[in-house]
Amino acid sequence: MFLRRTTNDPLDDESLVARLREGQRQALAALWDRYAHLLFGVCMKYLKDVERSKDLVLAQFEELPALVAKHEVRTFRPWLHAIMRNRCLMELRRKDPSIALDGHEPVDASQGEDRTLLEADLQQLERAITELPVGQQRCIRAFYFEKLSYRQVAERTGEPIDHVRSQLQNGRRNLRLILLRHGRNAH
Amino acid sequence: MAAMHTEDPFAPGGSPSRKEVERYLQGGSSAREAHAVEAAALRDPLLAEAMEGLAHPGALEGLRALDQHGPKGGRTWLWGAGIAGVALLIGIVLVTREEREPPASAHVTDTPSVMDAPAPAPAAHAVARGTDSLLGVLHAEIVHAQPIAMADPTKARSPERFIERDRSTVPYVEPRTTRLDHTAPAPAKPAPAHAVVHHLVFRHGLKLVHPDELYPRQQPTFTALGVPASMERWKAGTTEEVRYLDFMDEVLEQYAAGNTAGALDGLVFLLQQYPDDVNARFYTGQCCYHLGLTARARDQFTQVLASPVDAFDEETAWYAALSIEQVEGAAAARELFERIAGEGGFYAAQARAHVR
Repeated sequence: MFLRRTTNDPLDDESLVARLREGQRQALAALWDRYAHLLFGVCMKYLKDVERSKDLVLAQFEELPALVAKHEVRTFRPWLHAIMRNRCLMELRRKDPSIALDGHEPVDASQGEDRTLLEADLQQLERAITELPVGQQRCIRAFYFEKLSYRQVAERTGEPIDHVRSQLQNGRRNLRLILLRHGRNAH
Repeated sequence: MAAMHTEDPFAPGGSPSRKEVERYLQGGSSAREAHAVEAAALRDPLLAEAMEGLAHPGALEGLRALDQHGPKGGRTWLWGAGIAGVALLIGIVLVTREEREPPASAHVTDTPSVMDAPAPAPAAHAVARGTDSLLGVLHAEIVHAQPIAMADPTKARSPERFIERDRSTVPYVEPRTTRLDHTAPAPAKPAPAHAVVHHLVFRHGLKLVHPDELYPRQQPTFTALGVPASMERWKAGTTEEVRYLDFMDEVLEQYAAGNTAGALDGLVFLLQQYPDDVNARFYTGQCCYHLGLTARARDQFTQVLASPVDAFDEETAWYAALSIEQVEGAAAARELFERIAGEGGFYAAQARAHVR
């Protein structure tokens, strides 16, 4: 019914938010292009209902200008993720009051992992990987060093894809812990 | 020990684009592309959750429908301005006959969220004969509504009882006493002395009760004053009388084309003069539903079910249940879904999915 032109705005999220605060509505269009599909996916994960998910996303974007005007947003992406997830939980809570809300912005564990893993040099990484359980080692090497996809790793290891994903998530977390421990031991 | 690699394996790549995510979920990515999307999801919780949700059946189709609501890039925010532009016209034309602007040049407005609009108390049994107070506020709400772009309803994937291809199931079935409000008694419907076979017609694949049945004495005609069922006639300044079926033909043509607001325009006009018209009530409910005005839709469907003409009862109960579910929650709609499922009618299978 309505044709959309996709924006090609190279500005980062925080710059777009600043523009949105100034009342520049084009910034909202750019944020829509970047995030509407992601927020819709988040809603679908929790609500499993297309129409309700659409409604929530639309409402979220309608309120976004007022929200960014009201709140200090240091990192937009996790902030937006948190408020969308809480919105979904509130929606679910209307039906089941026992569902707890996230009272606080979630600790973005993956960013911590990323930083630790990035800061480690390759020698440290190799050493840390050898300390992982065998299954996690195998998946980490195949995925990160050989750049295989989940499916390819699953075919090689004979494990289901979900198991591969879980091995990778746990492997990353354990790598971080090992590297942090090595770092502490070195001092 | 594995060979040392010089390239940092954990170096972050970019975020995959929406197209890349969709391609991945549809299984169309190469192994390399799949790895890139998967690696991004491992380090980005938002992407990970989004992909989990978008993998849900129907999600990608829903996403495409969501696109229709988004702002037009490169211009000032046009949140619902396409429909707002047309809907503003409804109000203007009803009052003044000023010439319409086409939707493309609609004014930009910051509209309050339709989600904030208070849902009216269920009007389950207060069937308003005569002027419907709903109609007065409905125009204002259309301005704020965000239409769900409708594909041609006659090509809807889910079966519909009011669409021509399903005519094999259209013949009369026993009227159901369908309760919408589990706290109140069912609306009284006159029991037929004998099985009623409705005189049905189809326009643009959509069902109508023939006006001969609704208006046995004299079919209504409409003068296209101010509210154009036909844009061409209106622009030509024609004041010819338009017969009921021709009027509804134009209304349903717009509905079938996805022009919900245009269809609603004509339906509201008809209802203001003939508030008991079950055809207009049913499709007004449909339009409200597809405009996201689900509370209003619920009320329209309630009135359809209270009508002595039960030709739309089965599909109305289904959409009433959907509306109640959206407005009041699954618990409120459960009994109605169970009843629909239990009766084994046209929507029984779909209703069962809502009670699982």
